[in-house]
Amino acid sequence: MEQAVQFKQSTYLKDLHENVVKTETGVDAVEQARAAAVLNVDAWSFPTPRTEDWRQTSLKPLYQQDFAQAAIDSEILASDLEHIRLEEASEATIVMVNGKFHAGLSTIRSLPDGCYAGSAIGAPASVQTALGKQFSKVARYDKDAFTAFNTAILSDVAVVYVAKEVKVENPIHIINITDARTENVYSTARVFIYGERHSDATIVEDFIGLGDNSYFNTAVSETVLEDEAHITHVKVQRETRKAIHISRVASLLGRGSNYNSYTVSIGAQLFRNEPLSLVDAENAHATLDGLVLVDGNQISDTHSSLDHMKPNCTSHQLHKVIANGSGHSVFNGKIFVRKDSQLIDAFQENRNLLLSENANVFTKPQLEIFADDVKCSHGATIGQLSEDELFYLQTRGISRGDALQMLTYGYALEVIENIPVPSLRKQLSFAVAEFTGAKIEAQDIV
Amino acid sequence: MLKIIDLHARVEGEKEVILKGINLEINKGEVHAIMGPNGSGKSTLAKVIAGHPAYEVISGQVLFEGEDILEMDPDERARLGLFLAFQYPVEVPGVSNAMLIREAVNAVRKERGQDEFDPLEFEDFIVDKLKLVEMDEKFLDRSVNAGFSGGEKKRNEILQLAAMEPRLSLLDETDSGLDIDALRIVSEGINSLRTSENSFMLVTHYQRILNYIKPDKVHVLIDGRIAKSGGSELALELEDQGYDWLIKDAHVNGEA
Repeated sequence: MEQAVQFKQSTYLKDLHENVVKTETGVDAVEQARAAAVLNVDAWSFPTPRTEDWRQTSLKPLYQQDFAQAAIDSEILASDLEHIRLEEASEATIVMVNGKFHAGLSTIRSLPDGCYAGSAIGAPASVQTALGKQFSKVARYDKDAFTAFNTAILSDVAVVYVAKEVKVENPIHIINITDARTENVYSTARVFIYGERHSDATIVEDFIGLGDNSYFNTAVSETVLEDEAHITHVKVQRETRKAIHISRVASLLGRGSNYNSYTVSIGAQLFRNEPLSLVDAENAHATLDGLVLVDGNQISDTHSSLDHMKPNCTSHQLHKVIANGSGHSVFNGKIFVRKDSQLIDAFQENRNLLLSENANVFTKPQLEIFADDVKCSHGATIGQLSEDELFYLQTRGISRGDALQMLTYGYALEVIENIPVPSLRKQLSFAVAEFTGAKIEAQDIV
Repeated sequence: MLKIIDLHARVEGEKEVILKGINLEINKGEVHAIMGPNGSGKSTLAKVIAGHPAYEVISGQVLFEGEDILEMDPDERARLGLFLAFQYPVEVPGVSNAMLIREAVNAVRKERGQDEFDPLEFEDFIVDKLKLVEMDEKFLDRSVNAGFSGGEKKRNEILQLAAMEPRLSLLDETDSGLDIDALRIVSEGINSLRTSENSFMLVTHYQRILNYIKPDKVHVLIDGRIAKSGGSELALELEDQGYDWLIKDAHVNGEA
């Protein structure tokens, strides 16, 4: 019996893959990547509980369920998305339904010359060239069956392309929506972001679902920053509580570039996120901040890798977790400093706030430093709120219960307040307030 | 207003007693200054009155308007009209100043049977208080004390005091670390809040703030006891002579 389960588990993606009806994109770079990935899905095995990086997180919720391929022509109404629309992005919102670009729901107007936001299918030549150079080459996840699965079955790619020396003032919003209203489904979300030299843009990648059925979403995004490019990349995971979201967020940094990423994990039954930043040029900076909220029996697992491949770079990683109920959070933050990568300044901190006896968190900072002249600080704390802060609020007449809620809210806000999109900050602040029970008014958004 | 009878206290879980029999009475409308050298227990006294959970009261009573408050939580005391301005105001990232002060004011209003302010009513209410401490409205939108300068933090304490309209205010070294301008603003703010109905207890190391706020009584705390009480002239005496003569006296008395 044990063996049967083990067997089923190890071929899970392979079996799923066999029954996929594929929709080719007609984009050369994508199809070439697919051809290689198809072989890899079959060759690369599904992680078992013995796989080192999967020891704290069980994939049972995934392989013990059946999922059907999500339909490409799912009917989604504008009203289904209303609550997450960002007013700043009213002129550049890409909507992907079950992994496929939806022209009717997307609004793409008035981007600066040479910039592009939309599907890879039918994208201009400059975008095709960029795809040819880097598509599927940034997501360097070693023998990762999920990445291969995504590449093998994807039906479309959401692309943001920012031309040389252009600053796109307003954020670009990519909404990935999975329709699980009629049955358990799986789908793939794929994003490709490319910033040319000296470009500057903010991209919000958003994930929601519809319906009460379970769904399995593999999401892969790749961000390329040419020299001196500035990209802010926000990932908001607000899937339904029935979602299994396996995510890879890869970035490749050019000389003097600045990659600021913020990941906010609110939804899903099981969320596994693997940010991978390849800092492969000098004077670059990467931020990989995260906020995780888990309660009920939610599982949120972040395994990040920040690879300092060249000298004179900086990085910042603040990963904050609030765990309530029987919520389960895992953080494994790898920072590599290669042998010749001198003068690296890397900051990493993981702070965990436990609000209930049954919540649990695992944290593992993992620094592998081979250069000798570097400054790397790391810390991990697991705890409750500070008594000094509680006393301060109580002397203001606020009951201990209300003070706890207010401080928990404030604790979460430290990550959110850096997101440079006010309407998103507002949505997320209200989501945090709902999670913590804190009473806030629109005027309170910091 | 406040009556303290033979109060003994120490840090919870530790042996050393910090307050060794404090007796003090502050009447309605009075301003009392509590002075003393470092480690004499003056900040502890303020925190114990406000209900800091790190301290354990061994014996004695603290009566506020005739009611023993020692069993009450800090927030209950605050809602009754007791306010503590912190020596080191706590930073609360993510929580806006407006949110904190509105919740604080509404907690007090609810206790008094008044209607709570909605956000707009609160804005109208707080504008005048901001003027009192010469603070810009933008301070309301910032996280509580986060990134504030020392002077801004102290002004923010007085803003909260002004908004909550307490009956008794405990000011724990509000003057420390202030430059002359900030000291003037803070002092003038406090002076304009003085009425015949409310009282203040100023904990201070230096006489300087008493040039701006004239106390009715000055008490000198030495080693957990009030070693000497007097009028405002006592503060000037301390300014000239320091605390040494009182410390010697206290030791002589202690040995005798």
